[in-house]
Amino acid sequence: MSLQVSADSIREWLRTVPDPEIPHVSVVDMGMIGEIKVSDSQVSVELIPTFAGCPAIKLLQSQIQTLLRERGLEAKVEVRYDRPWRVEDMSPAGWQALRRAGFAIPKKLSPDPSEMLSEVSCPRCGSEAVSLSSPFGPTACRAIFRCHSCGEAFELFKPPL
Amino acid sequence: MIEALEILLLSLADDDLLIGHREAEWIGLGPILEEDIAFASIAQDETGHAQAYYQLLTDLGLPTPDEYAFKRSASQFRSAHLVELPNFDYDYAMALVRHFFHDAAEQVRLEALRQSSYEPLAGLAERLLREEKYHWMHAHTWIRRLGRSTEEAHFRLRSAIDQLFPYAWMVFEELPMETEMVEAGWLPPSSELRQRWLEKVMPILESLNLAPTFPSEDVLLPMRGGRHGLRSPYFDELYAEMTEVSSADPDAEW
Repeated sequence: MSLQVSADSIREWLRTVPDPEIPHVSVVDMGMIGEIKVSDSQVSVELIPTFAGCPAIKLLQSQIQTLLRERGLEAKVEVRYDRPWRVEDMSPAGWQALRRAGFAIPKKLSPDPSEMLSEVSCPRCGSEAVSLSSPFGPTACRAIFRCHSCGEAFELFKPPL
Repeated sequence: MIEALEILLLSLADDDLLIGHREAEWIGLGPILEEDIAFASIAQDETGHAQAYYQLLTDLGLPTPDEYAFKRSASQFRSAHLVELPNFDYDYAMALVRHFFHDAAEQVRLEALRQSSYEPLAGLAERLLREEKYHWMHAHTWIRRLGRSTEEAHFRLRSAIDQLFPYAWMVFEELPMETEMVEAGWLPPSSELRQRWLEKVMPILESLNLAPTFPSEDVLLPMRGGRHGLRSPYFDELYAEMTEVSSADPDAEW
């Protein structure tokens, strides 16, 4: 029996799976879903972690499998460490969701982290009078800043560069 | 060739696994909250990087990452002694200097491994380098800042550098079967990587008047052998702690 489902519809379904650390964005919009293959009887999904040390990968694997099983598909979720996750793979909807969630987002994706961290403005008031409190935050993909205009602390979404 | 590949990947992975554990020991003890978070975050990355290296071996039918991390004997480890050293007295200068030397070495190794003829490793190196940039930035920023601050900071950095530089030198100990690895195009010789590492760390240390003298053979002798299965005196205690949970129930499913 061959499967009557396309890779595109599977990708659509996976839009309901949130990034475990930034639940405002789906794993699809985060660019974490690579190739989806549908063969005669099996589905395989590539999962590309943002950071290799992401502790949520096993959780994501099982969430994806459960979601597809509910739709009658047995899926193999293959974690790909042997290639980088690229911020360019994020969708415009992903960037929008990050903004709505209150994250500052990098203005310039320079390969030099200090350059990226020095050009940041406050997501609340737009001020550029901000300072970096810590390039490391509650998860690998966040850095902590403080705004001197509105006095609030905020987080920058910090991708691997 | 699989034997050589295992030696290479374990050397890379074991360094990351053990320094990940040592850096995680700073959680709750950092001198300021931001440094607590930084070391926790870096430690998490390093542990993840170790897992990704082990996974390349698992993909070839060799043991799983958990088996490599928790079920080997001491002599099967290939770590450099630098990463096994304890956090003596929780001296932050020592922690920063080790972080600086280790992460400079990571930069140099990963830059070289991007060009590796072993494609899964080249792909992984490309990924890890993008993550590691933040570690290197953190390390050299602090060394520069403290190196230009008070007399006490300078003194403590100098002392840490003098103690750790020979250990860091031995991160680039020649690997067993290195000739085969170099001929296969997996990576450049260790001596060349050490040279590139020196070109990365020495100008920074010189600019701060903190440059160490190169270690003599006598000084290096007790630090040799890490890549060949000889452990430092500090390994057993570290490993007992790392495996305390897994050995309590070896067959547990996680």
